[in-house]
Amino acid sequence: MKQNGGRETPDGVRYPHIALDVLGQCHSSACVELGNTRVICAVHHPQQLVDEYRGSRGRVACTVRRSASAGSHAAGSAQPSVVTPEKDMSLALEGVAEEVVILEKIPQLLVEVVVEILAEDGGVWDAVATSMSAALVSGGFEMYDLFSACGSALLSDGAVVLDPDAAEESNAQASALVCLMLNSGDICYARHQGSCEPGTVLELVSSAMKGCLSRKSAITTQLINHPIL
Amino acid sequence: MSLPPATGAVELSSFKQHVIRLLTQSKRLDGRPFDSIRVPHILHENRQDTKINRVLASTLYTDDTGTCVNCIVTGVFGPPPPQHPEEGRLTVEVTAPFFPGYSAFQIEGTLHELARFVRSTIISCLDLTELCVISGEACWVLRVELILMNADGGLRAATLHAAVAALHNLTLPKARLPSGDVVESRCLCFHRIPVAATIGLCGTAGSMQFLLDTNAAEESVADVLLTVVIDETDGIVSFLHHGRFPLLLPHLTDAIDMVASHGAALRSAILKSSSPPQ
Repeated sequence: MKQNGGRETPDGVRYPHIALDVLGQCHSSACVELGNTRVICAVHHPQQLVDEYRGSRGRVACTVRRSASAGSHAAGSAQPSVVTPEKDMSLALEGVAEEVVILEKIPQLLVEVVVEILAEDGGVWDAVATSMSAALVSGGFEMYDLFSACGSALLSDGAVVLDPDAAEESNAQASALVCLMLNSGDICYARHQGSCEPGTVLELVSSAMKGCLSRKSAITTQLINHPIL
Repeated sequence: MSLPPATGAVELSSFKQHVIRLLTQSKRLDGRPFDSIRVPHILHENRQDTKINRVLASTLYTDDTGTCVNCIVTGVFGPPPPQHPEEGRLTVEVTAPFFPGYSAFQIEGTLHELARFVRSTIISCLDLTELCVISGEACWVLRVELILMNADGGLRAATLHAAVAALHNLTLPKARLPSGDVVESRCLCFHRIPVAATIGLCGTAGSMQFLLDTNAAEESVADVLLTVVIDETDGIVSFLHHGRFPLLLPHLTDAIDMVASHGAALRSAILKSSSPPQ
C-alpha cells in the first residue's frame, strides 16, 4: 500500500535535511527541509535581561512566523489575526526550550529564537523542532539533549499513518504530535486533535514516538559531521 | 532609510568609527574597490509538484556577501481595481523576520518604503493590462512576497532584482474561472528590465568619494545615499536621493554613469537563469 506522499509503508517517515549557519547576521541558524516542508530557525545574539527579570536562570523567547505563501489557506486571507496557530506553536516551543536548554548556564541572558516557515506540506512541527534543536546546538548553548518531533494521523479508512503530509492531515479523523528528547526519550510536548477511542490515542502517540526516534541517527549524523561542532 | 548593520557584539558607534577610518585610507570593509558591485546570483526553485500552493515562482537572490532575499510570487483571481478596470493587480510585501525583536518598530517603516519602491518600479516596467482576464470583471491578482533573510545594504537593489527575476518570463497557468470560463496560460514579460544600484557619498575634506553598491556598514556612515534604476537603453527608471546636503548636477550624472557601466553585467546576472526548467 503506497501512501499519498509516495512512502512505502505506513511506518515510513520523511528524513530531515539540516543545513547549519545559513544566515550570516544571526548568532546561529539552521534550515531544515522535510519533504516539501522548509523551515529556517535563527537564534539572535543573547542580550542582557532587564532589571525585573534578574535571576539565576536565563530565558528563551520564541517567535514563529509563517510565510504568506507557505500554506494554501493563508494565501487568500488578507487580515492578520492576533490569535494564530503560530502563536500556540511559539508558546509550546518556549516550554520545550526551557526543559532542554540548561538555563542556569546562561544567567540573566535572553536568547531570542525566530522560526520562519517558508514552505509547508505537513510535518511543520517536526521541521520546526528539528531546526530549533540544530540552531541551539550550533549556537553553543549547553543542552541536556537533542529534541525532535513527529506526528501521526488516523485516516478515514482506519489506518494509522506516521508523518502525515498536508493532504493526510486535512483528511484525518484524529492526529497526535509528540516532541521528545532523542537520547533519553523523555516527552517534552504532546498534543492530540480530533476524536477517537482512548486505545487509538495511545496507538497514535506510540507511533509518533517511534517515528521521532527513528530520525535520531539522521539528525545526529548531520549535526556531528558539521565542521564547527 | 536602511536597516541597521549586524555588528554582533561590537557597539554600533565603534563600528562606525572603524568604517570611517577604513574609508579615509581608501579601503572598504569587504576589500572591494570603490567602483565595483557585488554580482547577484539568482536561484530559481521549481515547485510544480505541490499544486495546492498558489506559488507561481520562487527565487532566492544572493550576492557574494551578506544579502539574501527570498521572493515568492502567488497568484489568484480577483476583481480588478475600480479606477482601472482593464488592469490587473500587483501587491508587494517585504518582511524581515530574522532581525532582533527590539528593532521591529524601527525597521517597519523601512520595509514599507521598500515595498512601495519595488511596486512602483515594477509597475513602470510591466504592463498591468496583461494581467487582465475579463475587463471589469476578473483579473490576476499577483502577490509578491519578499523575505529578507540577510540584509547587508543595497536593499532596494536587492529586492528589486529578486522581484524582477521572479516576475520575468513568469507563466500564468491555465485556470478556470468560477463562472466556468477557461483562461489560457500566458507568459508575463517586461517591456524594459530595470537594474538598480545604491551609491553612497562620503564628503571628507571637501572631496567626494563615491561608494558603489554600499553595504550596511557604509550606509550607516555615508553622508548621501543614491539609488539609481536604469533600463536597457540606460534610461532612468527611478532615482532616489536623500542625505545631509544637496548635490550638484555633475555628482548626479557621475552616479548615473557609474551604475550604467555595470548595467549589462547586472542584467545578465539576473536574467541568465530566468526561465524555470520545464
